[in-house]
Amino acid sequence: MKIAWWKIASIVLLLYTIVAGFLVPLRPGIESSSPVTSAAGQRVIIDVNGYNTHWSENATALRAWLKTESDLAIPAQRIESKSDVELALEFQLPSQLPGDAASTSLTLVVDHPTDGPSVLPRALDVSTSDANLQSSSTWKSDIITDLNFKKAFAFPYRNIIKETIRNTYFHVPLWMAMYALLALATWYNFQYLRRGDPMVEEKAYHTTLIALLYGFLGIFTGMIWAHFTWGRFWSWDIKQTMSLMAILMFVAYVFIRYSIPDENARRRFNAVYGIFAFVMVFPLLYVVPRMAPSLHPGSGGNPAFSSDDMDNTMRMVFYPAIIGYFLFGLWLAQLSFRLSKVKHEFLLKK
Amino acid sequence: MDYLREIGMIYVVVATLVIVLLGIVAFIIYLERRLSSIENNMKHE
Repeated sequence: MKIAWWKIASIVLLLYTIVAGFLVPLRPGIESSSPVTSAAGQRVIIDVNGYNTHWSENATALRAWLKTESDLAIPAQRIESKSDVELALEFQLPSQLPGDAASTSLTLVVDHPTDGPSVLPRALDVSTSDANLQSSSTWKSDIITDLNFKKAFAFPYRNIIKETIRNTYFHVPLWMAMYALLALATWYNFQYLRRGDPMVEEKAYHTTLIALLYGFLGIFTGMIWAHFTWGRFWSWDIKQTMSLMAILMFVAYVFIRYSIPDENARRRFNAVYGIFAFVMVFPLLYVVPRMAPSLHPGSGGNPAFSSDDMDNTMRMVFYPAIIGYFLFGLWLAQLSFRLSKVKHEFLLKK
Repeated sequence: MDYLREIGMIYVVVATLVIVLLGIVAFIIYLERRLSSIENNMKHE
Protein backbone atom coordinates (compact mmCIF):
# COMPACT_ATOMS: atom_id res chain seq x y z
CA MET A 1 0.00 0.00 0.00
CA LYS A 2 1.33 3.37 -1.01
CA ILE A 3 0.17 6.51 0.76
CA ALA A 4 -0.01 9.66 -1.35
CA TRP A 5 2.57 12.34 -0.51
CA TRP A 6 -0.03 14.97 0.35
CA LYS A 7 -1.60 12.73 2.99
CA ILE A 8 1.76 12.37 4.71
CA ALA A 9 2.29 16.12 4.25
CA SER A 10 -1.01 16.84 6.03
CA ILE A 11 0.06 14.82 9.08
CA VAL A 12 3.53 16.41 9.13
CA LEU A 13 2.03 19.90 8.89
CA LEU A 14 -0.54 19.23 11.62
CA LEU A 15 2.09 17.78 13.96
CA TYR A 16 4.29 20.81 13.28
CA THR A 17 1.32 23.07 14.05
CA ILE A 18 0.60 21.37 17.36
CA VAL A 19 4.23 21.23 18.51
CA ALA A 20 5.20 24.76 17.44
CA GLY A 21 1.80 26.19 18.37
CA PHE A 22 2.12 24.95 21.95
CA LEU A 23 5.84 25.15 22.64
CA VAL A 24 6.89 28.55 21.29
CA PRO A 25 6.78 30.88 24.31
CA LEU A 26 4.83 34.10 24.64
CA ARG A 27 6.75 37.36 24.74
CA PRO A 28 6.98 39.10 28.12
CA GLY A 29 4.15 41.56 28.73
CA ILE A 30 2.43 43.71 31.32
CA GLU A 31 -0.65 41.95 32.65
CA SER A 32 -2.14 44.69 34.84
CA SER A 33 -1.34 47.69 36.99
CA SER A 34 -2.97 49.52 39.90
CA PRO A 35 -4.17 52.12 40.72
CA VAL A 36 -5.88 52.95 37.43
CA THR A 37 -6.84 56.56 38.16
CA SER A 38 -4.97 59.56 39.54
CA ALA A 39 -4.97 63.35 39.44
CA ALA A 40 -2.54 65.77 37.84
CA GLY A 41 0.26 67.01 40.07
CA GLN A 42 0.14 63.97 42.34
CA ARG A 43 2.83 61.52 43.28
CA VAL A 44 1.63 58.05 42.39
CA ILE A 45 3.05 54.58 43.08
CA ILE A 46 1.93 52.05 40.50
CA ASP A 47 2.08 48.32 41.23
CA VAL A 48 2.68 46.42 37.99
CA ASN A 49 2.12 42.71 37.29
CA GLY A 50 4.11 41.11 34.49
CA TYR A 51 3.69 37.95 32.48
CA ASN A 52 6.80 35.90 31.51
CA THR A 53 8.94 38.84 32.66
CA HIS A 54 12.35 38.67 34.40
CA TRP A 55 12.27 41.89 36.38
CA SER A 56 14.46 40.70 39.27
CA GLU A 57 17.38 40.06 36.93
CA ASN A 58 19.30 43.17 35.99
CA ALA A 59 16.81 45.30 37.92
CA THR A 60 19.02 48.40 37.80
CA ALA A 61 18.71 48.50 34.02
CA LEU A 62 14.90 48.68 34.22
CA ARG A 63 13.33 51.84 32.86
CA ALA A 64 9.68 52.89 32.83
CA TRP A 65 7.60 55.75 31.44
CA LEU A 66 4.04 56.96 31.30
CA LYS A 67 3.21 58.38 27.90
CA THR A 68 0.34 60.20 26.23
CA GLU A 69 -1.08 59.48 22.81
CA SER A 70 1.02 62.31 21.36
CA ASP A 71 4.22 60.66 22.69
CA LEU A 72 4.82 63.13 25.51
CA ALA A 73 6.17 61.22 28.49
CA ILE A 74 7.41 61.29 32.05
CA PRO A 75 9.99 58.86 33.43
CA ALA A 76 9.56 56.78 36.60
CA GLN A 77 11.53 58.38 39.41
CA ARG A 78 11.93 55.24 41.45
CA ILE A 79 11.74 51.62 40.25
CA GLU A 80 11.59 48.74 42.70
CA SER A 81 11.39 45.18 41.42
CA LYS A 82 9.80 42.92 44.04
CA SER A 83 10.02 39.73 42.00
CA ASP A 84 10.29 38.58 38.39
CA VAL A 85 6.67 39.58 37.80
CA GLU A 86 6.09 42.38 40.32
CA LEU A 87 7.23 45.95 40.06
CA ALA A 88 6.53 49.18 41.96
CA LEU A 89 6.95 52.40 39.98
CA GLU A 90 6.88 55.90 41.43
CA PHE A 91 5.83 58.76 39.17
CA GLN A 92 5.50 62.47 39.82
CA LEU A 93 2.65 63.61 37.57
CA PRO A 94 2.95 67.13 36.10
CA SER A 95 0.41 69.68 37.34
CA GLN A 96 -0.92 70.33 33.83
CA LEU A 97 -2.07 67.80 31.28
CA PRO A 98 -0.78 68.25 27.70
CA GLY A 99 -2.85 70.77 25.76
CA ASP A 100 -4.62 71.72 29.04
CA ALA A 101 -6.95 68.75 28.64
CA ALA A 102 -9.36 67.93 31.49
CA SER A 103 -8.39 64.27 31.50
CA THR A 104 -6.15 61.89 29.60
CA SER A 105 -5.30 58.23 29.41
CA LEU A 106 -1.64 57.27 29.89
CA THR A 107 0.15 54.25 28.46
CA LEU A 108 2.70 52.44 30.62
CA VAL A 109 5.99 51.45 28.97
CA VAL A 110 8.56 49.26 30.75
CA ASP A 111 11.92 48.49 29.16
CA HIS A 112 14.18 45.64 30.30
CA PRO A 113 17.51 44.52 28.76
CA THR A 114 16.47 40.88 28.21
CA ASP A 115 12.66 41.17 28.03
CA GLY A 116 12.62 44.15 25.70
CA PRO A 117 9.93 46.83 25.88
CA SER A 118 6.46 45.95 27.22
CA VAL A 119 3.44 48.19 26.86
CA LEU A 120 0.16 48.45 28.76
CA PRO A 121 -2.25 50.81 26.94
CA ARG A 122 -4.57 52.99 29.05
CA ALA A 123 -2.80 52.01 32.28
CA LEU A 124 -3.61 55.22 34.17
CA ASP A 125 -6.44 57.74 33.72
CA VAL A 126 -5.39 61.17 34.91
CA SER A 127 -7.75 64.09 35.51
CA THR A 128 -6.94 67.66 36.47
CA SER A 129 -7.46 68.39 40.15
CA ASP A 130 -9.03 71.47 41.69
CA ALA A 131 -6.28 71.58 44.32
CA ASN A 132 -3.88 72.85 41.63
CA LEU A 133 -0.87 71.06 43.09
CA GLN A 134 2.55 72.35 42.18
CA SER A 135 4.79 69.81 40.57
CA SER A 136 8.40 69.91 39.49
CA SER A 137 7.75 67.39 36.72
CA THR A 138 6.92 68.35 33.13
CA TRP A 139 5.97 66.47 29.96
CA LYS A 140 8.90 65.78 27.69
CA SER A 141 9.11 64.47 24.19
CA ASP A 142 11.79 62.09 22.92
CA ILE A 143 12.75 60.65 26.30
CA ILE A 144 11.70 57.08 25.44
CA THR A 145 14.89 56.15 23.59
CA ASP A 146 17.20 53.16 23.11
CA LEU A 147 14.52 50.55 23.75
CA ASN A 148 15.95 47.02 23.93
CA PHE A 149 14.05 45.55 21.00
CA LYS A 150 14.73 41.83 20.84
CA LYS A 151 14.39 39.48 17.92
CA ALA A 152 13.02 36.54 19.88
CA PHE A 153 11.26 33.47 18.49
CA ALA A 154 8.09 34.09 20.46
CA PHE A 155 4.44 34.91 19.94
CA PRO A 156 3.22 38.41 20.82
CA TYR A 157 1.67 39.05 24.24
CA ARG A 158 -1.78 40.62 24.04
CA ASN A 159 -3.85 41.65 27.02
CA ILE A 160 -7.08 39.69 27.66
CA ILE A 161 -6.32 36.92 25.14
CA LYS A 162 -2.87 36.00 26.54
CA GLU A 163 -1.99 32.34 25.78
CA THR A 164 -5.17 31.87 23.75
CA ILE A 165 -3.42 33.72 20.91
CA ARG A 166 -2.33 30.15 20.07
CA ASN A 167 -5.92 29.44 19.05
CA THR A 168 -5.01 31.26 15.85
CA TYR A 169 -3.45 27.94 14.74
CA PHE A 170 -6.35 25.70 15.80
CA HIS A 171 -9.53 27.75 15.33
CA VAL A 172 -8.86 30.15 12.44
CA PRO A 173 -7.44 27.57 9.94
CA LEU A 174 -10.66 25.55 10.31
CA TRP A 175 -12.48 28.41 8.56
CA MET A 176 -9.79 28.89 5.91
CA ALA A 177 -9.75 25.14 5.17
CA MET A 178 -13.55 25.08 5.15
CA TYR A 179 -13.58 27.82 2.55
CA ALA A 180 -10.97 26.05 0.39
CA LEU A 181 -12.89 22.74 0.60
CA LEU A 182 -16.14 24.48 -0.39
CA ALA A 183 -14.36 26.10 -3.35
CA LEU A 184 -13.17 22.65 -4.46
CA ALA A 185 -16.68 21.22 -4.02
CA THR A 186 -18.05 24.05 -6.17
CA TRP A 187 -15.58 23.20 -8.90
CA TYR A 188 -16.76 19.55 -8.78
CA ASN A 189 -20.37 20.76 -8.90
CA PHE A 190 -19.64 22.74 -12.07
CA GLN A 191 -17.92 19.74 -13.62
CA TYR A 192 -20.95 17.60 -12.82
CA LEU A 193 -23.39 20.08 -14.36
CA ARG A 194 -21.24 20.27 -17.52
CA ARG A 195 -20.40 16.59 -18.01
CA GLY A 196 -23.04 14.74 -15.95
CA ASP A 197 -20.74 12.18 -14.30
CA PRO A 198 -22.56 11.24 -11.06
CA MET A 199 -19.29 10.27 -9.31
CA VAL A 200 -18.02 13.84 -9.69
CA GLU A 201 -21.11 15.08 -7.91
CA GLU A 202 -20.50 12.44 -5.25
CA LYS A 203 -17.02 13.92 -4.74
CA ALA A 204 -18.57 17.39 -4.33
CA TYR A 205 -20.95 16.02 -1.68
CA HIS A 206 -18.24 14.40 0.43
CA THR A 207 -15.99 17.45 0.18
CA THR A 208 -18.88 19.62 1.36
CA LEU A 209 -19.49 17.18 4.22
CA ILE A 210 -15.95 17.73 5.55
CA ALA A 211 -16.30 21.50 5.07
CA LEU A 212 -19.48 21.29 7.18
CA LEU A 213 -17.62 19.31 9.86
CA TYR A 214 -14.91 22.00 9.93
CA GLY A 215 -17.59 24.68 10.13
CA PHE A 216 -19.22 23.09 13.17
CA LEU A 217 -15.83 22.62 14.83
CA GLY A 218 -15.07 26.27 14.04
CA ILE A 219 -18.29 27.37 15.75
CA PHE A 220 -17.66 25.23 18.85
CA THR A 221 -13.97 26.17 19.23
CA GLY A 222 -14.94 29.80 18.66
CA MET A 223 -17.53 29.54 21.46
CA ILE A 224 -14.90 28.24 23.90
CA TRP A 225 -12.53 31.05 22.92
CA ALA A 226 -15.34 33.62 23.19
CA HIS A 227 -16.27 32.43 26.67
CA PHE A 228 -12.84 33.27 28.04
CA THR A 229 -12.15 36.46 26.11
CA TRP A 230 -15.54 38.02 25.38
CA GLY A 231 -17.20 36.65 28.54
CA ARG A 232 -19.91 34.52 26.93
CA PHE A 233 -20.14 31.36 24.84
CA TRP A 234 -22.70 32.90 22.51
CA SER A 235 -23.38 36.62 22.36
CA TRP A 236 -25.12 36.91 18.94
CA ASP A 237 -22.08 38.82 17.75
CA ILE A 238 -22.44 39.55 14.02
CA LYS A 239 -19.55 37.24 13.16
CA GLN A 240 -21.00 34.38 15.21
CA THR A 241 -24.49 34.88 13.80
CA MET A 242 -23.36 35.07 10.16
CA SER A 243 -21.08 32.02 10.58
CA LEU A 244 -24.03 30.07 11.97
CA MET A 245 -26.14 31.11 8.96
CA ALA A 246 -23.39 29.96 6.57
CA ILE A 247 -23.20 26.59 8.34
CA LEU A 248 -26.99 26.16 8.34
CA MET A 249 -27.07 26.66 4.56
CA PHE A 250 -24.93 23.57 4.19
CA VAL A 251 -26.96 21.65 6.77
CA ALA A 252 -29.86 22.30 4.36
CA TYR A 253 -27.65 20.97 1.53
CA VAL A 254 -27.28 17.65 3.38
CA PHE A 255 -31.01 17.52 4.16
CA ILE A 256 -31.86 18.00 0.46
CA ARG A 257 -29.76 14.94 -0.33
CA TYR A 258 -31.92 12.75 1.88
CA SER A 259 -35.26 14.17 0.77
CA ILE A 260 -35.27 13.73 -3.05
CA PRO A 261 -35.70 10.04 -3.99
CA ASP A 262 -34.84 10.30 -7.71
CA GLU A 263 -31.06 10.11 -8.09
CA ASN A 264 -30.58 12.40 -11.09
CA ALA A 265 -32.97 15.05 -9.78
CA ARG A 266 -31.28 14.92 -6.39
CA ARG A 267 -27.78 15.31 -7.80
CA ARG A 268 -28.72 18.18 -10.10
CA PHE A 269 -30.64 20.02 -7.38
CA ASN A 270 -27.80 19.46 -4.89
CA ALA A 271 -25.15 20.69 -7.33
CA VAL A 272 -27.03 23.89 -8.19
CA TYR A 273 -27.90 24.57 -4.55
CA GLY A 274 -24.26 23.95 -3.53
CA ILE A 275 -22.98 26.51 -6.05
CA PHE A 276 -25.42 29.19 -4.89
CA ALA A 277 -24.71 28.43 -1.22
CA PHE A 278 -20.97 28.78 -1.85
CA VAL A 279 -21.50 32.17 -3.47
CA MET A 280 -23.22 33.30 -0.25
CA VAL A 281 -20.39 32.14 2.06
CA PHE A 282 -18.01 34.99 1.24
CA PRO A 283 -20.51 37.78 1.97
CA LEU A 284 -21.68 36.06 5.15
CA LEU A 285 -18.23 35.42 6.61
CA TYR A 286 -16.18 38.32 5.28
CA VAL A 287 -18.41 41.18 4.08
CA VAL A 288 -21.41 41.53 6.40
CA PRO A 289 -19.41 41.21 9.68
CA ARG A 290 -17.20 44.11 8.59
CA MET A 291 -20.17 46.42 8.18
CA ALA A 292 -21.19 46.25 11.82
CA PRO A 293 -19.36 46.59 15.14
CA SER A 294 -18.10 43.23 16.33
CA LEU A 295 -15.86 41.78 19.02
CA HIS A 296 -14.19 39.49 16.47
CA PRO A 297 -10.90 40.60 14.86
CA GLY A 298 -11.25 41.45 11.21
CA SER A 299 -14.46 43.41 11.75
CA GLY A 300 -15.40 47.04 11.48
CA GLY A 301 -13.24 47.39 8.38
CA ASN A 302 -9.88 46.07 9.56
CA PRO A 303 -8.62 42.75 8.24
CA ALA A 304 -7.47 40.28 10.90
CA PHE A 305 -4.14 39.86 9.15
CA SER A 306 -2.88 43.26 10.23
CA SER A 307 0.21 43.62 12.40
CA ASP A 308 -2.00 44.04 15.48
CA ASP A 309 -3.26 40.50 15.20
CA MET A 310 -0.30 38.65 13.78
CA ASP A 311 3.46 38.90 13.36
CA ASN A 312 5.95 36.97 11.26
CA THR A 313 6.59 34.35 13.96
CA MET A 314 2.88 33.59 14.02
CA ARG A 315 2.70 33.40 10.24
CA MET A 316 5.35 30.66 10.34
CA VAL A 317 2.83 28.47 12.15
CA PHE A 318 -0.43 29.89 10.80
CA TYR A 319 0.07 29.28 7.06
CA PRO A 320 1.33 25.67 7.45
CA ALA A 321 -1.66 25.08 9.75
CA ILE A 322 -4.09 26.15 7.00
CA ILE A 323 -2.46 23.83 4.44
CA GLY A 324 -2.36 20.99 6.99
CA TYR A 325 -6.05 21.31 7.87
CA PHE A 326 -6.98 21.54 4.19
CA LEU A 327 -5.00 18.49 3.09
CA PHE A 328 -6.25 16.47 6.05
CA GLY A 329 -9.82 17.45 5.19
CA LEU A 330 -9.17 16.35 1.63
CA TRP A 331 -8.02 12.98 2.93
CA LEU A 332 -11.16 12.52 5.05
CA ALA A 333 -13.33 13.57 2.09
CA GLN A 334 -11.55 11.10 -0.17
CA LEU A 335 -12.07 8.20 2.28
CA SER A 336 -15.73 9.11 2.60
CA PHE A 337 -16.11 9.31 -1.21
CA ARG A 338 -14.34 6.00 -1.82
CA LEU A 339 -16.69 4.24 0.62
CA SER A 340 -19.68 5.56 -1.30
CA LYS A 341 -18.09 4.58 -4.60
CA VAL A 342 -17.50 0.98 -3.44
CA LYS A 343 -21.11 0.78 -2.29
CA HIS A 344 -22.33 2.25 -5.60
CA GLU A 345 -20.30 -0.24 -7.67
CA PHE A 346 -21.46 -3.13 -5.52
CA LEU A 347 -25.11 -2.17 -5.94
CA LEU A 348 -24.61 -1.85 -9.74
CA LYS A 349 -23.16 -5.38 -9.92
CA LYS A 350 -26.17 -6.75 -8.09
CA MET B 1 -12.92 29.25 35.49
CA ASP B 2 -11.06 32.10 37.20
CA TYR B 3 -8.17 29.71 37.84
CA LEU B 4 -7.86 29.19 34.07
CA ARG B 5 -7.68 32.93 33.57
CA GLU B 6 -4.94 33.23 36.19
CA ILE B 7 -2.53 30.83 34.50
CA GLY B 8 -2.69 32.59 31.15
CA MET B 9 -5.59 30.49 29.80
CA ILE B 10 -3.40 27.87 28.13
CA TYR B 11 -6.11 25.25 28.81
CA VAL B 12 -8.48 27.15 26.53
CA VAL B 13 -6.11 26.21 23.70
CA VAL B 14 -6.00 22.60 24.93
CA ALA B 15 -9.82 22.52 24.98
CA THR B 16 -9.91 23.88 21.42
CA LEU B 17 -7.53 21.18 20.19
CA VAL B 18 -9.49 18.45 22.02
CA ILE B 19 -12.73 19.61 20.35
CA VAL B 20 -11.10 19.45 16.91
CA LEU B 21 -9.76 15.94 17.58
CA LEU B 22 -13.15 14.77 18.91
CA GLY B 23 -14.79 16.09 15.74
CA ILE B 24 -12.37 14.14 13.57
CA VAL B 25 -12.89 11.00 15.69
CA ALA B 26 -16.66 11.42 15.33
CA PHE B 27 -16.24 11.47 11.55
CA ILE B 28 -14.05 8.35 11.64
CA ILE B 29 -16.77 6.56 13.65
CA TYR B 30 -19.29 7.63 10.97
CA LEU B 31 -17.00 6.16 8.27
CA GLU B 32 -16.61 2.96 10.32
CA ARG B 33 -20.37 2.50 10.55
CA ARG B 34 -20.86 3.04 6.81
CA LEU B 35 -18.09 0.54 6.06
CA SER B 36 -19.68 -2.03 8.40
CA SER B 37 -23.01 -1.71 6.61
CA ILE B 38 -21.35 -2.23 3.23
CA GLU B 39 -19.50 -5.30 4.55
CA ASN B 40 -22.77 -6.73 5.88
CA ASN B 41 -24.42 -6.16 2.50
CA MET B 42 -21.64 -8.04 0.75
CA LYS B 43 -21.86 -10.99 3.18
CA HIS B 44 -25.59 -11.48 2.68
CA GLU B 45 -25.37 -11.48 -1.09
